[in-house]
This record gives sequence, structure tokens and C-alpha cells, in this order.
Amino acid sequence: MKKLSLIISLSLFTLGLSAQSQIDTSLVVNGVCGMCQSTIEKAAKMEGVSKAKWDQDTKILKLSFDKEKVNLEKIYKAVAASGYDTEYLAAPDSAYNSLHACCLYRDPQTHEDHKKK
Amino acid sequence: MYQKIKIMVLALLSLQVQGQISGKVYLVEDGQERPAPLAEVYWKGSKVGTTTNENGEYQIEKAPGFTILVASFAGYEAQEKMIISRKGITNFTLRSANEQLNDVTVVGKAKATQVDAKAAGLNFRIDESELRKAACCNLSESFETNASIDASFSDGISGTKQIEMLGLAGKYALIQRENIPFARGLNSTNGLAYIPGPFIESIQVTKGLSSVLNGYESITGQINVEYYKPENSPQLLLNAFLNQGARSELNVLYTYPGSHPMHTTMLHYSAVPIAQDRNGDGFADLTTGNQLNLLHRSHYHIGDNWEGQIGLSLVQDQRKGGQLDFINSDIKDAWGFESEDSRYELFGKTGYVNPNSDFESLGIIYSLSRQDRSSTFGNRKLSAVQNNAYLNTIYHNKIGNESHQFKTGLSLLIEDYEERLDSLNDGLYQHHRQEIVPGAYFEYSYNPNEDFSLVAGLRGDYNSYFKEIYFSPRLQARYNLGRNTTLRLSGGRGQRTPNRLAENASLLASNRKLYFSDLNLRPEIAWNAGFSWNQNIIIGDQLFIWNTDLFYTWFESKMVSDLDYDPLSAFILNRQGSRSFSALSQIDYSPTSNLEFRLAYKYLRAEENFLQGIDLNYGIPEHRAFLNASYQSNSKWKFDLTLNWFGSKRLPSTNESPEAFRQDDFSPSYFTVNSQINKEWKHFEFFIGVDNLFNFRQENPIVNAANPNDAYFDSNFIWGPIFGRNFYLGVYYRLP
Repeated sequence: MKKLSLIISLSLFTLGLSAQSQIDTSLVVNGVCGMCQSTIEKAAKMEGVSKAKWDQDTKILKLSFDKEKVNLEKIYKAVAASGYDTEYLAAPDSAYNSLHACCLYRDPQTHEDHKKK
Repeated sequence: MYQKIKIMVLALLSLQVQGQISGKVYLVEDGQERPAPLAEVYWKGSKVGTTTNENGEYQIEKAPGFTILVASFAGYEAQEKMIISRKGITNFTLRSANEQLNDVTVVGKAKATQVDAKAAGLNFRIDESELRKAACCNLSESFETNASIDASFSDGISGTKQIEMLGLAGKYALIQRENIPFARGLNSTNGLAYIPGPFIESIQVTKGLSSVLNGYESITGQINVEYYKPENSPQLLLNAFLNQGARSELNVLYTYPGSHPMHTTMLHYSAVPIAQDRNGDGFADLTTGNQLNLLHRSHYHIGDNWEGQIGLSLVQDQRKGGQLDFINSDIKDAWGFESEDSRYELFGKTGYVNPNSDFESLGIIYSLSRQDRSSTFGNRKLSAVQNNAYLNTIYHNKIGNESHQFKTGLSLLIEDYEERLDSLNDGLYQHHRQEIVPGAYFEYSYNPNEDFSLVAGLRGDYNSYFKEIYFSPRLQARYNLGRNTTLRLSGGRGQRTPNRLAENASLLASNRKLYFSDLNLRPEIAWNAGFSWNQNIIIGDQLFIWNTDLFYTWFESKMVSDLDYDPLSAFILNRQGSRSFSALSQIDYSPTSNLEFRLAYKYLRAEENFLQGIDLNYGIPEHRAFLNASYQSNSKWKFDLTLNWFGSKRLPSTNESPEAFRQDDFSPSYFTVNSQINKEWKHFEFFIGVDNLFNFRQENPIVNAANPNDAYFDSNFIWGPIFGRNFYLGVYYRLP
């Protein structure tokens, strides 16, 4: 029963999508704070991306994009270039180092500090 | 549906095949970076690990489910990084375990200029990206985006730039090149111009009294310049620069690949071939001339535990200024300034690290130098020679556990100095001295926890010239009041030996007679105390960093140059009671990672004990404000804008001059705007910029410029820019 409903909902979901050639997917992006959120979302919102919403607790960036105009690789490369590690690709050190001191998410201590707040 | 699955499967496949994290592990000690061979790199909590190769490089697969990547090396603090990616490049920089409270501290590169959070003193580091904001030309221009230090011309003719820190001249700060005193003695006036900007890797600044380890000469602070070193420099760096003032520069840095020991050569050549006179007073606005600056050094290892470097440096500088008639055609009666300066130095460092102890180390620093200067100002001729030998040793260990550490050592300074002034009118002034200064110091640092640190030091130095032992006690302390507030205190004593003629050479760019009123030379001695407060202000998700510092300096003895007493004379004498109070408040804010703002206000009350009593010192503005904005696009375009506002400055009194030559007692306030645009590609970087965009100028920087051979001719009333708007452009090529 559970399986059946999943299949139904999935097919409904994709039916709706294929009409607009839109893809909904998600990407794990490391980050710690609201400032990170704004940088990540801005970097991901390139042409063809209709939704980019990152969550501080789950580290998940929810994406909707038009597959005719853009692909996932382009998006995560842009996010990495803005200084944020994605599950596929780490940000170059130069970009990471220019982040604000409070956003230095590679330091485990930074995560601790933000939890305390 | 099919489309979507295909895309995702393809994406996952291709990524998993190539997925790997790689990078380099570096070790940092005494501000020097070197690759770490055989360092361990592993995923914390897993069994997946690797070691670096001889170049410090590692490659590791992402271990599923583990996110903390650790790099460790014996004797250094392990570094942990949270890495969630399957692929990418990230480098580790491990700090020596015994370097937590270092005098010269390397801090995280989060910001281009950043206060070192852990140090007991108020230390900040200016790194490459900050230095690039002001692309021209040498150390005196490196502080353009920094409110703590200001640079200005010391007179209207000789082109000598002087820095100001805490309301006092640059000579009261200890200016070092890689922990070797550099711009001191005879070199204190021109030394800043002998440090070419493109070779600077970073600058560490300590405000207020610094460690006793580097000697007794720092009073207002310490500025340490680190050049690129063989182990961390680009293999090739080329830089060319040109500005509207006709200054052209070529800088070359080359590291010999794969050689052991490692060698680096740096060459700087600059020239200003033509003189310009925009204000039409007959005098060149900027000096013409050229400079050749060469440095070669080698880095070597002896066995596993000794390493060192040795280098040679050579500077030759020629300048010509004054009336255009003198520069262009050598007309006999024209007033001219000419200067030739050469400096040779052999320098080196050797260090030993005890392999059985994380803390024990020994360092030896030495330098031998000779500097020779001869300058002509009109019909007066100045010549000076300084021979100097310097040796310093640093032994570092802990007492019991690592929260108690100490540094101790012996030092020796030998200086032979001679200066003379030949003049048709004034007769002859001549001074020769030999100083032999053996010294010893001990510095204790106490660091019980993250929130508190204290450094207390004492040094004693015997000076053979003054025949006296001088003691310099110093103290620095830091306390964290919660996570966002840091308070610091510092205080102590500093001292230096002035060179009465060479340090007052700017006075010769006038027709004032010089009177050296004291029979004997006396040392300059000062006490300095400071308090600072760093506050992080978090509003929503925005962070404001607010730093405020207050410093007070009081001179037990200071060389004073009095130009008020008589407009035709300058009296140079030692007096007690000069003092300076400085307060700086600065806010740093970056709304996004690409955009940064810095706003600062500085209050300076620099008072000198003149012959007629205490009064404000010349040329130091009481109020000063500063605004910097920089933006960096994702495609490596950088835009930088700086606004400087200078309040009114006191000028030498002219009440007794004839009406025609009288000047205002105070200069007007003014502002300048500088801007620069950089674009970086893989190996190339191009920049274009403008200094003094709105072309603000001091119209008559020279009094009685029409008759320079007559009385009242004087260029010591300088308070603002002479040349005005100055466009520049340049290019870098780097091969890493």
C-alpha cells in the first residue's frame, strides 16, 4: 500500500514536471548561519533556477531548475565558487578563506559556536 | 521521469569515479610556511588515512559517513576540517604547538586585515589581498587601507615619506624585515621606500609596546614585514607599474626550481625619469631618480633539526629634486636637492627544534650592514655612514606544563655612525659615535586557558656610548569577557638613539639655520600604555566588528625640532615631557562575503615640549576619519574605494616673518579619494587605479619658492598632497 502510494505520487509529480521540463532536486551544502544561507542561495540562483532554498539545520539546498537552461553541475560549481562545499565538490581554499569569520564552517568549532547561540 | 533518472545517475556515476580530496599540508613557524612531508591525513573516527609525500601533498578518498578530515604532524597542532564533499582541493596549515602566544602570529585568513584573537598584544596582520588594494609601490603605501598608520611627506622637496603611528613619527616604531630591525638609525628616514610592495607576503603590526625579544627600540609599536620565502614564494613573479607621475617600476621574483638548498632572487628597479611641476612654482612636485634593489637568499637544512637561511641585500637609490632648472639643465644658481644612498646587508637566521620536545627551540638571528648616504640641499651637504652588526638569540621552552612558557636570550648590537654637515654659511657639524650594546632579556608568558593570556618581559642593555645600563620592562595582557568581547592592556618602556642630523634632514630643504643646542647626544626614552577593546556585535545574522584602542606615550627624553622660536632657525635639542594620546575606533562590516566596509575615526593629540612650552606637534591632524569599501565579484573583479579625511594640522609659527611669507597657523581640513580596480585571471592580474581622484592639492607647498637662495625659503609647511590626481596601472604575472 505504502509502495503503491509512493509510485502514484512520484508519477504524478514527474508528470507535472515533464510538462515544464523542470527538475526538483536537492544538494547538501555545508554552512552555518544566515549569512551563509544568503550567499549559498544567491550563488545557486542562476538563470533557469526558479527555487534555491537552503536550510541551516539540515544543510540541504532545495532546488528547482529548468533542465533546458541549466544543470546540476553548473549549480554546484557556482555554489562551490562562492566558498561553500557541496556534496560533490569542495570550494577552492581561496574562496573559502574570503568568507566572513563567522561563516568558516570547515572549523568544527564554528558549528559548536552557532549551536550555542 | 526517464530523463530525470538518467541525469542523476550520470551525474552520480561521473562524480564517484573521479571523487577525491587532495591538497597540501604546510607547517608554519615564526611566520614561515613550508610543506610538511609525511604528515598524516585521515578521516576522524575512521580507518581511512594517508600520508603526504615529500612536497606535502596528499590525496584521499571521501570516507562515506565521516566528515572531519584531520591533518597532523608531530610538534604541531593538528587541524580538523569539516569536509562533506567527495571532490576538491583543500590545504592545511599547521601551527607549531609552541606558537600559541607568538610575538609574530599568523592568524586565519578569514579577513585580509584581522586582529589576532589569541595574542596578548594588539596584533594585526595585513595579508596579500589587503596589500593589493593599494598596488603601488613600497611599504609606506602599504598602509593605505589601514587607519592605524598614516604616511605623509616630511617636506615639500626631498620626496621622503614618513609614517605616523599613535601620533608619533615612524622612527618610534620598530620596523623589521623578517624579525631583523630594518628601518632604524640612518635607514629610518628612507627605509620604508626600500621595501618593494610586490615582494611583501604579509605585514604584522603590533600597536603599543611589543615583546622585549626584538630589542628596546619599539615605542609606539612594531611593524614586521615578511617577504616571499623560497619555500612559499611563487616560482616566478613579474610586476610592472606605471603612473602619471612618471614613476615606472619593474619587479621580478624568481625561485630556482628543485634546488637544495632553495634559492630566491628578488629584483626591483624603479625610475622617475622626468620632473613635473603642476603648481607652477618652479620646483618639481615629485623627485626624479632611480632605485635598484636586489635581494638573494637561500634556505637550507642541516640534519633533521637545524634549518636556516642566509641572504644578501643591496639597495642603491638616487634622487634629484628642487628647481626644474637644476634638474633639467644644471643651471648654476638654481636650488637643487640631490641624494645618493646605498645599503648593503648580509643577514640570516638559524633555528634548532628539539625533536624530543614540542616546546624547546633555539633561534639565532644576525645581520651585518653598511649604509652610506650623501645628499645636497642647495649649498649644504649632508653625509652619513652607518655600520651595523646585530645578533639576537632566542631560546624558548616551557616551565612545567605548557601554560607557562618563556623566551630568553642574549643580544648584541654594534654600531659605528658618523654624520656631517658642510655648509658655506653654517660652518661644520660633525658627530661620530660607536655604540656597543650587549643585552639580555627574559619573557614569561602565562596562558592558563583560552580566555586569558599574559606576557611579561624585562630586558637590560648596556650602552657603551652613554655608559649606562638601561632596563626595559614590558607587559601585555588579554582577557576575553564572554565570546564576543576581548580586552587588552599593554605598557612599558622603550628607547632609541637619535641621529640628530640625518633625522632632521628635511629641515635642510629650507634656508633655516640648524642649531644643535645640546652639547652631548642623549637617548630618547619613552613610556607607553594602552588599552583596547574588541567587540563583535551580532544583529540578526550580520556581524559588526568594533575595535577601539587608546594609547598614551610620554617621553622622559625626546629629540625636539623647534621651528616656532625663530622662522629663520631650527633648534634641535632633547627635552622631557613630550606626549601623545591617540584613540582609534573602527567598525568592520561585511554584509555579504563579497562586500566589505571599514569605517574608522582617529583622535590624535600629539604634543611636543617646545622651547616656548607644550604645543601641538607639526603636521599631525587632531581628527582623522577613514572609509574603505571593497567588492569582489565571483569572476575575480575587485573594486576598492577609500576615502580619507584629514582634520586641520598645526604648522610651524610664522608670526615673526614678514607679512609676505606668513602662513596660517593651522592647515585647512581636506579629504582625498583613492580607487582601484583589479582583475585576476589564472596567472595574470591587471590593475588600474587613481590616487586623489578629486585632484586636491596644497597650492603653495614651498614658502618663498621664487627666491630659494634668500631667507624664508622653506618647504617645511607641507600638510597636503602636492602632485594631485595620479592615475596608475600595472600588471602581475605569477607562476605558482
